[in-house]
Amino acid sequence: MSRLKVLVADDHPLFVESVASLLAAQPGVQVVGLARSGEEALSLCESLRPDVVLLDVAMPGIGGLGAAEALKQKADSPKVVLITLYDDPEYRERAQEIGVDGFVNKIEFAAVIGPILGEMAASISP
Amino acid sequence: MKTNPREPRIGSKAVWRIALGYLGLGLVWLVLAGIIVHTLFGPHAYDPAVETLAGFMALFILLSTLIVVQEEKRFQGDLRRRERIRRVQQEQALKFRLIAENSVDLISMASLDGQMEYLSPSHQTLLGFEPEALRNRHPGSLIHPVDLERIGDWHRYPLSEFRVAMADGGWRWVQGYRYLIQWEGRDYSVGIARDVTALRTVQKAVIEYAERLRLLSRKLLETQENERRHLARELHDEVGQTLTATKLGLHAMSDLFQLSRREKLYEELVANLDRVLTQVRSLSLNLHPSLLDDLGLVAAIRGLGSRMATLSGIKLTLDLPPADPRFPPLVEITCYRVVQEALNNIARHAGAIKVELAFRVEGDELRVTIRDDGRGFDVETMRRKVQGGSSLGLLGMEERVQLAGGHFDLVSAPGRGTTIAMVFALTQASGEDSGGPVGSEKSSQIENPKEISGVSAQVVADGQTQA
Repeated sequence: MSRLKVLVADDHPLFVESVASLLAAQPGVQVVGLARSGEEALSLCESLRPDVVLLDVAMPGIGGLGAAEALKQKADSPKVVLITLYDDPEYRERAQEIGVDGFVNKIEFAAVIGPILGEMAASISP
Repeated sequence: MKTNPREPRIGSKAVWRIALGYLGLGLVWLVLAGIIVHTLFGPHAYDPAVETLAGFMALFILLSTLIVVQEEKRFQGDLRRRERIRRVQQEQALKFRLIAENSVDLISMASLDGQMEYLSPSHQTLLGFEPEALRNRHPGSLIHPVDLERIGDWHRYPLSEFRVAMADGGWRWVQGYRYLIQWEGRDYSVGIARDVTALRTVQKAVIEYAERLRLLSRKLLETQENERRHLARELHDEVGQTLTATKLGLHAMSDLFQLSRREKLYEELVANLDRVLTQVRSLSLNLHPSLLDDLGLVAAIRGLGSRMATLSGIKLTLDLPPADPRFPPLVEITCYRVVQEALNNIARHAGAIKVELAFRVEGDELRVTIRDDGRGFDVETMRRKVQGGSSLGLLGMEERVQLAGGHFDLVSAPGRGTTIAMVFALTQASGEDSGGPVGSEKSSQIENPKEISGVSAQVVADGQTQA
């Protein structure tokens, strides 16, 4: 079974690195790339073809919501998980409209990301 | 005006009388000369002396006639000049009368005992007095008693501002002066005054506005300081303390060998950090609502409304459009802050049970109304309090809406709740991208608010905590 390829996008370097090291300890998960903006995430998706993209909502430029929407409009869209410190119902609603596969509060990130990725890995390669 | 000294005083009939007189005298001399010659020399005595005498007579008559004709010519010239001067005088009088009669200024002339000699028609058009009504009225009685005391004598004063009576009992503000002239040996007082009632209204408005600005900038500085103090306290007392405790805990953890105690401490530290994150998030949210930039005004107001409703226990009805149109950044942040301020005020002062928040785009207008069923207040009393600087929340809201080019309306009465309405005219460009796909076009829309909200966020943060 091949490992789940994950791309992480957040404009905060410390957070991106923490996520990367947290995921490195996760079995069956491989962090294939790190992006600093929504635009960079989109272009890295083209070249790296990740299975899952973790997108921070609050990034400069088109931001996480913009990138998620662009990704979800593609036919072979990767799984998209939005991560944010602003866990408002309005954000969750918008995320649902876009059709993302996950919405994670940064406060609970460490606790919930493992199970979410596990589920995704299972749904991709049963 | 005095008469001209060069004016001739003899008429042309007199000239003819003089001429006839001379002629008569000449004839008398001729007859006398004939009688004398006849008496001395007899009937046929034609003598050279007689001829000479007759010659002198004729010459005398001729000269007299010439002189008289010459005089007559001079007199005729004088007469024409006199006529010309009279015409010029007439023209000048007409000119001055036209100037005075058509002036919008009040022009009057009175003798020093208060008898009106001249009143320009502007007294009727401006003050409403029939000319007859003023004829016998003392000029001093037209000036407001309080103002008259200030400017001194009614008949002579420098440029002053005062009130003059109107026929209907009202008063009009004028700016005028009076001076003395001499006419036919008597002193008269001439007054000229201009209506400045409208100007004073504008001046008053400008002064009030300046006062309002002064109050606002004072409040702005105060609120800025308060907000900074609040932020400093939050950062130091909450975030700083929790982080310090967490750091100490981490140090302690490295010394702990008992696994169960280590795990317990670990749980505590994670809980600490969660608390810090929540604090930072709420601080950041208060400074600037990220929802507004990311999702637009409708979503931000929905979020704000539901948070406020949860906190205050008020029953909030939201009437919001389903789509999320984007508006100019200044309009968005203004609407958001005014709604925030209004909901704060309702929660703190109104004692309301129900609040209705409606948000509508009608034609080219964005209309936001906030209606509560609270205790309400007297708007005039509140405005006076605002003028006195004791309550500025209302003023802040109004000022803010006006700065964003909108119209602010407040309706309230004791016991009848309060309704706040804002209306913004939308330009074509601002309404275009309602409900459009999120793409590069929208991203530029999101960047713009960030750019501008940086400016307004400061004002916003300063303006939000007053009541």
